Amino acid sequence: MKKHDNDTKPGRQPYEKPRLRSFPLAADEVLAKGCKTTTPGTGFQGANCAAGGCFQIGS
Amino acid sequence: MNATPTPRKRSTATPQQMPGTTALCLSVAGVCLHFRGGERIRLAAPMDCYSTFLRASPADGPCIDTVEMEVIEGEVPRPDLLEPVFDTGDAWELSADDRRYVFRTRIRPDNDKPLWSMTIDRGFNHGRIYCSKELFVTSGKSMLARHIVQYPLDQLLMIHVAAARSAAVLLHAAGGNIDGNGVLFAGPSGAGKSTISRLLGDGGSARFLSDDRIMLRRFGGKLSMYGTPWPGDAGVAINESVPLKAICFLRHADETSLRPLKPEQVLQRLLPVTSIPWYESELAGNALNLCEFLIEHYPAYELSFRPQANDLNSVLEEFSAAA
Repeated sequence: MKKHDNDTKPGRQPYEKPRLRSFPLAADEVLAKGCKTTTPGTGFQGANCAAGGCFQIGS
Repeated sequence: MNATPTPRKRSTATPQQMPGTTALCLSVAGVCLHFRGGERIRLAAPMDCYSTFLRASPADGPCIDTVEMEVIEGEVPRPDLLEPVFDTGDAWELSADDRRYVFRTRIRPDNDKPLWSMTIDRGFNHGRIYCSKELFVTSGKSMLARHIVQYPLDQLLMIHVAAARSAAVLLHAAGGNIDGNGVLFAGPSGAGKSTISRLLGDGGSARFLSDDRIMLRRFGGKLSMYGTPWPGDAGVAINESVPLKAICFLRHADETSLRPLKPEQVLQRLLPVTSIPWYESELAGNALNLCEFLIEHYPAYELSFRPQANDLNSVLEEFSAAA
């Protein structure tokens, strides 16, 4: 009976343990949450103006 | 003299000369949001950057997905039956029941009263926008609703409709048409999207569709990018589309260079600039599928740059030459 010997196969890569990597998702910038400027006169310019009449969310 | 009496023309103006319109349609990347105000409510005209994205009705132009939204006064009925889904903490929150989603904003972070609330069926086909009295200007029997077709309401709606129905996602990216090739320049706030739009757009090397938000839409085996009415500091908002060629992630540097990225490097840069509704698994899955398609089929680069147009033009010749 032929013995399977995977260790001797050419080109086998050494095992590398998976690594977890985390990075921020910047939800404030991509989920219509924040803004940079407010529209004058809307009367809803608080700490966060997204609920009011603000418009520009630019970079 | 034989004077023939002429019929008296009926005036089409509202009795109080209230501005605005009874309905308007916002069309972005083939998604048409059709806002209707009903008998009493008129809708204020949006800002100038919306002008090329507006129509009187969905029938006035190409439209792939239509969402019907009725604008009314009042508050969402029976909100106590809703289950919370997501809360930004200060700007807006999402709740749902078996049939509908409900988005609510707050006037201020310390005030729980919604400025507007939006209900929409789970298929994202039709919904209602309930407006508080603060949003209206009243004249006689007519009411003018302000700040409806405007950020953040329209963008919030568009993000979710795109993920639910349209195989599309919104990206925090500028996008330019370089000799018929669509090239994205993505990055968070401060990365240089508006700067690069000015440098390349003003010099004529590229026609930019947006300097801040691009909608990406899949048609079979291809992606196309679309301008949006949400510009950045450069104020670029063009209602045009172009087939996608490549995506560049912006990075400030002392020298200009273009470096190809591996898929895992693209993923790490792409997710933070993509509008993905992480809190709803089906919607998030649709958006992630499109991200995966982008990573698998399109070249991605890190574009390190300093703000000098000559350097940038030489780098971007690569995109204009390759058909």
